[in-house]
Amino acid sequence: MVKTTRETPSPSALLPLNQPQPLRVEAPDGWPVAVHVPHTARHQISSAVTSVEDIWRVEEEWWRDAPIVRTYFEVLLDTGRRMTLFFDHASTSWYWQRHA
Amino acid sequence: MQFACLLIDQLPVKSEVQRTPALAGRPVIIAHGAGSRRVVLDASPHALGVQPGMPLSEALSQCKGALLVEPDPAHYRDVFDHALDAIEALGADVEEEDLGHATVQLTGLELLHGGEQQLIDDLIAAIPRFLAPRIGVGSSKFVASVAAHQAKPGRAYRAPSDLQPFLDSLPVELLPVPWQTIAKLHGFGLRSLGQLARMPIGALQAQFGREGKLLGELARGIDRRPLTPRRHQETVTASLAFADPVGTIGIVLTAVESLLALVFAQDSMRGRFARVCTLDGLVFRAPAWHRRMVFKESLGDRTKAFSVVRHALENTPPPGPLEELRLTLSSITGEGGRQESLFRDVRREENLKEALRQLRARLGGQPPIYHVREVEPWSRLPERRQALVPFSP
Repeated sequence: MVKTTRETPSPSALLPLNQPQPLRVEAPDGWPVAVHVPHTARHQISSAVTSVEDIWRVEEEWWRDAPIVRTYFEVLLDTGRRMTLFFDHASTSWYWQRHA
Repeated sequence: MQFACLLIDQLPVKSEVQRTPALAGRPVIIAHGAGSRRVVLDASPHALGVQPGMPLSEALSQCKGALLVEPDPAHYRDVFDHALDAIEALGADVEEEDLGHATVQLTGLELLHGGEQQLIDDLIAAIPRFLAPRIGVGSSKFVASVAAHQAKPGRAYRAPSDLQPFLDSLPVELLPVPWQTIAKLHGFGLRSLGQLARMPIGALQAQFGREGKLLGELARGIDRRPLTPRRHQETVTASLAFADPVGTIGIVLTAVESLLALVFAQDSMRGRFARVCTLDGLVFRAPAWHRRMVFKESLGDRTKAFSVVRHALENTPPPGPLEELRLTLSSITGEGGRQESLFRDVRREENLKEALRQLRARLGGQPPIYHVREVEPWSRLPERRQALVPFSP
């Protein structure tokens, strides 16, 4: 059970947090095999995906014109880093979600 | 209720001419901004074809022999403040609308001054002659302001008792609303107050919201806005002029130290503490420099104040050689410290509030400090679970 504060903050006062970041992912047949993580404004670090630890699908707001359909992948990279990626079916793009 | 509006045109140019009499009778342009974006702040009547807001390059091509003067906003503010102080000394409540524009409440003061006409004469006499103010007298703030626009410099004009014919032919630009609203009125073909007065207030409200009602009422000569007297802020000032422009930070710091010694030695600062220190400098061939420093806590000691000012100036020195330097202490209080709470949590909260208040004062707005707040913690979309909310303890 989640406790709600019943307070409605003004939308203008809110700043988004944990926004997904676009990410270049090599995924032949929809399965991530390598990711290119932004390092600086111009450079990226490419890493191979050694294993997919978890996979789940989120379908939200199916009653709207543009429903949200995402397939999440929790992947382990060859550098030992763990990342949560998702494929957005509406925009057919890959994103990185830092805190899933 | 009777009001008087004080209107001083070309306040910057008049202030500069009064300070430097050699500028009198010559085309003078005061420009502000930086680089290629410099625009005319004010121009003397001798600078023909030059209007405030015009790009400087265009103004200089219009008036080739013009003398270019760097702006000194602190000086213009001082000149205007002194004029308002002189009016307040007559016993009047004064509301400042803008630099060079103020409203004075006359009702209740006529008996003190031997009638309304004598009061208006006293008002004109109280203001330095070189400012040549235009005074408008009317039954409300807006009517007085419109009347002031009809007055000649150094003279008063009283709005007639039958207001509507007087207001009808006047342009909507006289309304105290943003220029976007004026542009919108023009877009509807409404150029005079008479045209506006003939519009039903409901229609104006439908188009302009709450402002629409104000527009409709003002055009009919109805102004219910009360006069809000300006808040008097006690300040202590000392200044010095350098024989030659000074660009070395060491000399500037020595000057600041001696100015601090002067202000803290004044009788009005005895046993008292200041919270804000402002430095205004006239920079050689560059726009005036202004620096405001808020002390972490009220200081009544020049040594402590100097260490704060020195630290600030060493980090960001003046932009060029200084010709004059003025130091002002404000937010003066009799309190030297604060009584802290006995309880740790309350103390922590108070410290946070204080830090935030100082940041707000320093940044001139809401500081970029946020706290994480749960918005839709149940959402399956991670980015919707939390958001950043401006921190306000």
